[in-house]
Amino acid sequence: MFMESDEVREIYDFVQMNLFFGDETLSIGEKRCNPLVLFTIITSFLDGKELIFGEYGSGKTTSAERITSLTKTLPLEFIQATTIHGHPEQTEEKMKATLDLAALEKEGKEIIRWKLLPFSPAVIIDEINRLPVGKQSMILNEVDRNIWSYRGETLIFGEGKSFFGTINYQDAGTTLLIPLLLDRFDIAVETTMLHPVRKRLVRRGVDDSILRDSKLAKEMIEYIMEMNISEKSDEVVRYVAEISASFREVIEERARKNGFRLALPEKKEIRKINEEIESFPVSFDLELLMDYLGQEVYCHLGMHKDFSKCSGCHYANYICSDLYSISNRAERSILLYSKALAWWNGDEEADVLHLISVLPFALWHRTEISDRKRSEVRDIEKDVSDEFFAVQDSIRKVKKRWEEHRSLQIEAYNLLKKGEEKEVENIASLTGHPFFKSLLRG
Amino acid sequence: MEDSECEIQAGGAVSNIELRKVFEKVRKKLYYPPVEEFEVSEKSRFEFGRRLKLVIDKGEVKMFSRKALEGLFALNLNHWAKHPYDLKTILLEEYWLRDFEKRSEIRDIFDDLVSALDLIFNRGVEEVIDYYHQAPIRGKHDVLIRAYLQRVSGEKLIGSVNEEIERRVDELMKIDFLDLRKMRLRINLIRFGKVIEDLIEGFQPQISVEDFSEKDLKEALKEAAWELDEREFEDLCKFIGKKTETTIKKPRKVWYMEKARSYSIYIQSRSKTGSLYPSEIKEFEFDDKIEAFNPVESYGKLIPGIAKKYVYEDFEGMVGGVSDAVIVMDSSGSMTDPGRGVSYAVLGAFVIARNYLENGARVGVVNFSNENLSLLPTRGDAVFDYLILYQGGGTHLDVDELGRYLDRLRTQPDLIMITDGGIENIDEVSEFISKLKSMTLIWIKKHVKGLKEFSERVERLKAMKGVEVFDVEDEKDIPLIAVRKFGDFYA
Repeated sequence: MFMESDEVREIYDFVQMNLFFGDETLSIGEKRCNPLVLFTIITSFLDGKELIFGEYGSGKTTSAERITSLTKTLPLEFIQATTIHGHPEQTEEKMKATLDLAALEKEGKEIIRWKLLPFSPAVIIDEINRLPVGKQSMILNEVDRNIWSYRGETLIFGEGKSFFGTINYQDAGTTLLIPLLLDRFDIAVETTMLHPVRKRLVRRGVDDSILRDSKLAKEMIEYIMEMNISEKSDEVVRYVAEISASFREVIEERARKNGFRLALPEKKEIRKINEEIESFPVSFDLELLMDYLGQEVYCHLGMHKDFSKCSGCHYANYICSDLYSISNRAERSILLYSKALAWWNGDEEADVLHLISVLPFALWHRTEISDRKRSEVRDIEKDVSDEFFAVQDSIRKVKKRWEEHRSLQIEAYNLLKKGEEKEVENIASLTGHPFFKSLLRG
Repeated sequence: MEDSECEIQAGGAVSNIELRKVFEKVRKKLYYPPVEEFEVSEKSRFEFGRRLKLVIDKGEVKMFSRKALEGLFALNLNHWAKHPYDLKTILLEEYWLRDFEKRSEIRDIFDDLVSALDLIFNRGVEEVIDYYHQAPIRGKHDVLIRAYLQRVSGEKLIGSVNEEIERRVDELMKIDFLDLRKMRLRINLIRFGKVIEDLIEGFQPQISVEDFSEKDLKEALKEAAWELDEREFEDLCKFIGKKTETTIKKPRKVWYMEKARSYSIYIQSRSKTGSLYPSEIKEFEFDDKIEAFNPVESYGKLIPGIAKKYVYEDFEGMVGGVSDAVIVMDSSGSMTDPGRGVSYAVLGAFVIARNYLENGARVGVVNFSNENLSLLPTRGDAVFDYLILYQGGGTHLDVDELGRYLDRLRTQPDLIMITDGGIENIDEVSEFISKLKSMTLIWIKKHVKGLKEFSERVERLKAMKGVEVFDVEDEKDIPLIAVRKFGDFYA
């Protein structure tokens, strides 16, 4: 019997009630949820990449560690041991692998000793923006493919990894994440404000003992450090999987004792969840809105966008003057996470509702926002960052325009199918909207 | 909303659960407008809190068929999907109807009609017709609305009406209600008001400006500033102030501030200073100096791939920021009075001040005409008060006073002068500027470009070392302003 989305919702409820508190600010139809908890669970199952923004001590790393420990069913201490702390003095040797210096000295042999990181099913980098750009890039590339190389040796893993980077809002002592790297993150969430009652609970301390087993974590670390050569990597992977399977039962049993019915997914169930999400039906309207948005964001005064050109531009009221771009990678993330959200919500298909919910989370971290848009929203009361709000507001306005043009959009597609380009031209000149012009390109 | 919270006893065929389903179905059809909750209570209305909530009359729920309820939900939700869509539009509509006594009622009926027409003709939500079939007629104006809808939809909604109503329907037929471009909307509203006003009796608008919070009203007014000129905006603020508790103090200032948000200028940040410190650790390469070698991180080995070096960088905390700014603002009689027309000097100054403030810097102001009125660098709102202040006298910059002002500052600010160039004591000013290392001069040339004496004085300043001049003839020149700092203040 494979896992249903109901059971994943129970995991969400369990985390939200016991392991990480935050206000439920995301509405999906009738339901409300905490975006950080929900997207972290989804990212963990999808082996995606997530950025967690927040102020110092707001629980960014803690949330990622606890949720990953639960979803990957590994002792929290092990996950914490594999977490990398970003600072400029990090080296490949501290994070990934090193030479066995004793063997090199005594026998003249170059033996690579891998660190814990490549064997962990989840990678968490605390304060990723304090890691120099070159090292951010290296880690992200290797996590992307789960292929790890060091001094000519390579580890290739069959399964993917989920990746979480925590990040403080820009401050002295942090390097900027370059846009290319930001684009690699599927989604970005913020630690939300806390309701006074939840804050009281946090003050008292959150009991995460359900996830803890320091003895087992120590054993795991000792085992991996002993077996950490390339030839034995498959054995290590098997070992971690076995521990995960047995610890899953331990967590479930502990939860039962505490009065929670918790069914955590096995590896094959996670695979099944991923397949279900990948093949989840998508509504026609979702595709239409994405088509529309994707064209509106292009600059019509040249491929290399420069917001200073927007003043006086005919298209100044469109989203192109608010957001820099929506990359192909971003579009893939948006579609996948919209499907995941619909699946989680128990809906029949991924629709405009899910798309609108996901878009700001998938875009705000990876697209530059114009100064005009930032300025427009900075004095408005809100419980999210200016950047997130600006993207959300721009998307809301695109949606309104799209609703006006939706029937024309369908008509234009039908005309195009019939080869009646002249008619499409008429629609393009009637609306003046970039989407219709784009149909005549090429 | 939980079903248990839904306290209606849906007397008709529609149960509470079904009602929720109908609501969700309509939301989906209208692409999820921002009304996420509904409640059944005494009187139909909207509740404007943190979340927008629709309240529907429990009598109607009992009386209506499922289809008519769908129409009722659609009609209400479409107010936030199509028209009026936001509070700003509601405010503008009431403002345009200010000469009508029953302006709120006209606006509400007009918005309802637009919503209904959009649903019937653009979205194919024919359940709206069912709603009109079953909803009781609420007065003479409603007879007219139904007669009009009957004519345009071809559905029998009211049967035959008298000649007077027919004549008014003919008038309404001339209005293109679905043309919502700002100019058309204004004309349509007024024409509609003239046709319907005398028929309205005892009608209570469902959406009322007074129901919104003061915060919402202020935000909506600010949004309106983007669409109105400064006079209209001032009038709108006064009009809303009379109607509600909300008062916008100094509407002109708010208008300039909102306009200023449209522009960004380039400000060159402070250069980094301070000593280097060992920062990142990288691979040691053969052409690196041996002093860079880091034995600890290299495990004591000088082996390729193992050997490491430190890379030295500025101290982490010494990130280049933006300096404070002092804007020397000409508010003499030859400059445009910001209270009487659009002043590019004030707009430009607001843009500059806003950009500095948003980058964490402070802004000081020396407003000069007959005398220097000075404000020391601050992050407060007073900056904008000093910038918009219009003295309207002669153009005399008291350089001794300016010198004392600058001497009082603990940090070296970027100095920006905004003037049309008509400075009377140009010799003193030139001498003063020659002692400075740098200054940005913004020449507002719109009204003086043909005047020789003005341009000669500016040319004289232009020729001075360290003075960078930007000409502003039109609003579009504002983003071209760049403010640079070259180092210490005095040369």
